[in-house]
Amino acid sequence: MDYAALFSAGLHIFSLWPLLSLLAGVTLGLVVGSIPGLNDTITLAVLVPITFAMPSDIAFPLLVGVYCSACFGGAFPAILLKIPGTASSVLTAVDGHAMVQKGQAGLALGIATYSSAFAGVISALVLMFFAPVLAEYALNFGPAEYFSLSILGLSTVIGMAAGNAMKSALSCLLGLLVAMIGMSPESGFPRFTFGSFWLFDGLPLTPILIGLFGLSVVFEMMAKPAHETAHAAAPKTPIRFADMLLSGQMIKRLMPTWLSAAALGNLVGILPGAGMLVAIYMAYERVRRRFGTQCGQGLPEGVAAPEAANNSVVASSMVPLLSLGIPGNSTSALFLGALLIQGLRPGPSLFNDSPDVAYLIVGSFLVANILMFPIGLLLARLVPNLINQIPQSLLAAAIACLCFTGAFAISNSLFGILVALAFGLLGFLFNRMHVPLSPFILALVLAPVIERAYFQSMSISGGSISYFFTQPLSLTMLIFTILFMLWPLYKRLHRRLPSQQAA
Amino acid sequence: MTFKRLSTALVALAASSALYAADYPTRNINYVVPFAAGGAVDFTGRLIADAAPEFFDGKKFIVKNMPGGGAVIGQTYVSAAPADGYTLLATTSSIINNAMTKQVEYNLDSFTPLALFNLDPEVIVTSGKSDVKTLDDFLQAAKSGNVSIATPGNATSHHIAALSLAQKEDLSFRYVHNASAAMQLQQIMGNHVQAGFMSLGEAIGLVSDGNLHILAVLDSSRSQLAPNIPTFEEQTGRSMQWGTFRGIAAPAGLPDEVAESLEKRLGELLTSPKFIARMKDSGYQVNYRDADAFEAYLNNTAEQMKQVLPLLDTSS
Repeated sequence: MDYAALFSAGLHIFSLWPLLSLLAGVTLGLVVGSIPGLNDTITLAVLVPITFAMPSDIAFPLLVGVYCSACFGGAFPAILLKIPGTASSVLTAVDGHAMVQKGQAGLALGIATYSSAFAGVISALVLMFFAPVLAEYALNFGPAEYFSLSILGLSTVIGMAAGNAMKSALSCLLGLLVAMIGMSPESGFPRFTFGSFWLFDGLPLTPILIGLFGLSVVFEMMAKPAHETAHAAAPKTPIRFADMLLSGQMIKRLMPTWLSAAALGNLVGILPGAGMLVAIYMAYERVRRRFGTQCGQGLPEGVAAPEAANNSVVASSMVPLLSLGIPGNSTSALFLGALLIQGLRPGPSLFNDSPDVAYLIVGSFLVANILMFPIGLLLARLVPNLINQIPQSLLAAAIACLCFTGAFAISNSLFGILVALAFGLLGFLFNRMHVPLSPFILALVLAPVIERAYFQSMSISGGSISYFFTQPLSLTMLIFTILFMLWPLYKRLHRRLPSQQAA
Repeated sequence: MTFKRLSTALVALAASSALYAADYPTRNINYVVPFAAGGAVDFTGRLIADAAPEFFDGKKFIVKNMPGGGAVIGQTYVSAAPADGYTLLATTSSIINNAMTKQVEYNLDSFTPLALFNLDPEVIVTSGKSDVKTLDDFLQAAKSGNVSIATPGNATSHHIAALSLAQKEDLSFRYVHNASAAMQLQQIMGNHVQAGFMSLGEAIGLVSDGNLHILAVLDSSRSQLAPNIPTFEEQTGRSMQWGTFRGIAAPAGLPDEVAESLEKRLGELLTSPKFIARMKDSGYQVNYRDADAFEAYLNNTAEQMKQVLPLLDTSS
């Protein structure tokens, strides 16, 4: 660890231009994150070529700022309108919007801000001090481990709908079914494509999310009589700063949730290809097991856990990139491009060869997460009051516009809009029948990972199932899966026994 | 008097519309990338777009990502676009194997090749920690069917490279297909598989740190990027060449003036020192070939693919 380089990079961030570009990045990230359909990947794809002409101490703070704050930006529409701005805030919408309906909009936004900044800072510190160690650990994850991790992730859908396992299972199975559309990862055989090339790579995730969460809300607004919708979406009373600042008591209450969610986010985040969704679902599952049916009713922990988890995934996804040269997801792949443009090769030697830039990047992650706090609070103070001034009918139209634009932009085609419309209807029906959406999303995302990892393991082991049980890490995760699945059963028995004794 | 002025204006207008094609370009040009934002094709496309205004009279290249169907969506779009020089396609080998393996509405003849700007030879890599240290070890092990190979996806150029080698050398590999090059790297560097096929450009940066070891370059001569790494031919005496390429094409049937203008301007852009320097900084070599040479290269690759494609079993 080169403390001198770290210290000088730290000082350098606080000079005028790097700090300004970091600020610009954080603000831009919050804006694109809060618009459904726009996200960090698409923003960075546009920005990276522009950074050619910039010196590295302006380019990287800008990019890091966008990357850090985009997934926090997604929390704003998730909480206020129940429309996640990014995929990373799909779970924030559940308890976040329930809090708004209870009149706790300020508190919900405050919790999201505190959680994101806190977990972001922790994972930036992890990136700074433990990157090489963690990268080695990430390499231990082979096909068997990915398989077991995904099964573990999928097991969290058990009981996701409070007390309605059947509906959760239905949602999960539908997700698995939709995930089957497209080319088989093993043989390349097209499944359920009906000869259409649009379906060849499977249905695109972003238009599905836009439909399920965005358009379904628009349909909901359309279905309600005008006088009801007047109260539907955002809080009526203006939000004051005082509403958003958390009391010491609340901070103390949320601290365990923050720490466990940040730990989960860091561990899952460093695995290339494992993804943000697994982290937020596992973090939320922990909360759900602790609070049971209170979840989904506007529980502060229900906002804190996913928001803390998603922001800690951001910095930790840079661990394999900076210390091994493997981009952890599509966004950090763009960072790889940005690094190369500046003449830098990510890998173990990066911190020795160009410590100034390497530490500038990890330092930027730290400072970006700190800056996010005041900027986030400021936006949280302004945005809801702005939304309130828009008549509900116009708001629905505006949301529909944003949804269609976002769905179109993914592949520059009408196909995205059709997918969004179809899933908008499905989401509307799900909501009407009180079928939870989250198992659907999780199954949709994990099914291809499970299938691929299964075939990979079979190919490596020569077709032996025991491969999953002979790898210690994989075995551990499978045992946890079984425990997770039996937990509700155990709890029910446990509850029944004392009551029987009492009788 | 007024009439005379009007008629002069009309004549001028008629003349200018006749010159329309020669005036190319009069507006911005769409550069269609048939992949999602963030990959190598998208990235090099954005490098080209960044340099374009200087060579296209101030007109811009607008990079349009049209992913889907294993690049079929974007390729179909360009093949059906008006042949006026305002729609270009970022062209990769997928244009050839898509036309051969999938029921698409286009083939090589649906496009006008304009320029090739990047050739990346294939390499065989192992983990730095692997027991397989030499090409000989690798070939020996693969004969007995004990070598697992990570690919970035079924039917990708790298998968086909492995199939082709297996066919030529009578080897049998166990294929481990991934969804991305990053996951492929993870499995090779984590020593979960014995080896992998990828392009030199992807591998070279990871060699100096000892995380990856290149067994052989599948090219006729050593690469300038890695002069110390021997070719397959040097080590075995048998020829084996494979690689990925990146080029630019337009829909077929371009007016001659437009085709000439495009070819000339693209040639100037792709060989300009500034563009070459930027490509080099980003880890890509510029290997410029003009339209005719690119067309010959495409046809040659198509021939090579035809021999391997029957091995791609997509029926199960």
